[in-house]
Amino acid sequence: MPEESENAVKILKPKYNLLKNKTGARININNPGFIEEEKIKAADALIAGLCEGSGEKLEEQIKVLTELWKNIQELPDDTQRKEKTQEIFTIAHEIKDISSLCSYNLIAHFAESLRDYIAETSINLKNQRIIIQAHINALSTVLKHNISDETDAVAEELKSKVKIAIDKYR
Amino acid sequence: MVPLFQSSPEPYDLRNFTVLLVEDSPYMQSLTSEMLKLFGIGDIIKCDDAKEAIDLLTITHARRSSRHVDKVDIVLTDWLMPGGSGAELIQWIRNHEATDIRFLPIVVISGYTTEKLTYKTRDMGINELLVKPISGKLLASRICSVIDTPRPFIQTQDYFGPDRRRQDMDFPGEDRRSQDPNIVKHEI
Repeated sequence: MPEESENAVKILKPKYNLLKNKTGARININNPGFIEEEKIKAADALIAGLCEGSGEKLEEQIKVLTELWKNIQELPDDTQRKEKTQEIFTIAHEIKDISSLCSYNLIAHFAESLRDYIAETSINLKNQRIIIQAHINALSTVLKHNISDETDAVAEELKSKVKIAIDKYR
Repeated sequence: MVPLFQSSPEPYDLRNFTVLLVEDSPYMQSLTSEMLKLFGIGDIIKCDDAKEAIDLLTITHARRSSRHVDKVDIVLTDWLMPGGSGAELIQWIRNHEATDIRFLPIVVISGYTTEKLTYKTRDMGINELLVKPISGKLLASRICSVIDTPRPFIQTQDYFGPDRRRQDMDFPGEDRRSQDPNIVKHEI
């Protein structure tokens, strides 16, 4: 048998669809299967149920974020501040997940922006801190005034302020 | 009389399935796990990050001769996790020497919506990508896709994973690919 060249492309095809076998699919194994509609509806109802209490959860997380940020700024040196950055990322990521799941789109917008900004920066420079503070101020304002409509004039102004901070101080 | 060959789709019985769920957010981990239970998934193993998932897969692989250890069937993983990312997990799985690990179906659940991420995860060898926010329909469709359409795996110098072409389309002319001595087909 000739040796396979190192440029060979191998196509590895399973003999059997083992996962399909496990589902108990009957003889005609090539038919697609499905998960019943009532199970999918139950899953969506679960999300809807969780979202009923999500406003309080988000409020709690934004307060934790605000407190964390305050504590970070009071740390004596950059090394300690840098270590805490990951915590801001984690909380912003969670706020984004919960808010987008439950249609708090404005909160999701700012949380995502903060998360993405944190991911690409340290918080050692003054300018960067201004950007983070702008995000946290925006989140707190949305929460305090219960701004739900992301196209609302106030919402647009908040987005604009954060954008200005990012553009000016990045 | 029951027809020998079913022509209509059938609902899946997923109670024999084991899903490895890797998610650092307790909120999302709990939600996704409950949704999988509602779908009828038999066993859901939860890990908080890639490192924990790698340890667990290593242990289940080592004990695979035991009848009491359920083998993982599908991996559902978040992308960004502080204690070890989805990327690390995917690389570890696709580079593993054992076939029961390296061929594992992987679904990435991510809050990032960029084209860059889509290409990156595809080129790392995932099976499916689910962009948050999660829903019953989206999660169900990804699981069914993994079961219904197991694409052959492709191995090249710089890629190992499911065939990145989702459709095997007809094309005019001779199938010259099959004549290429550099393409080797194996049945596994």
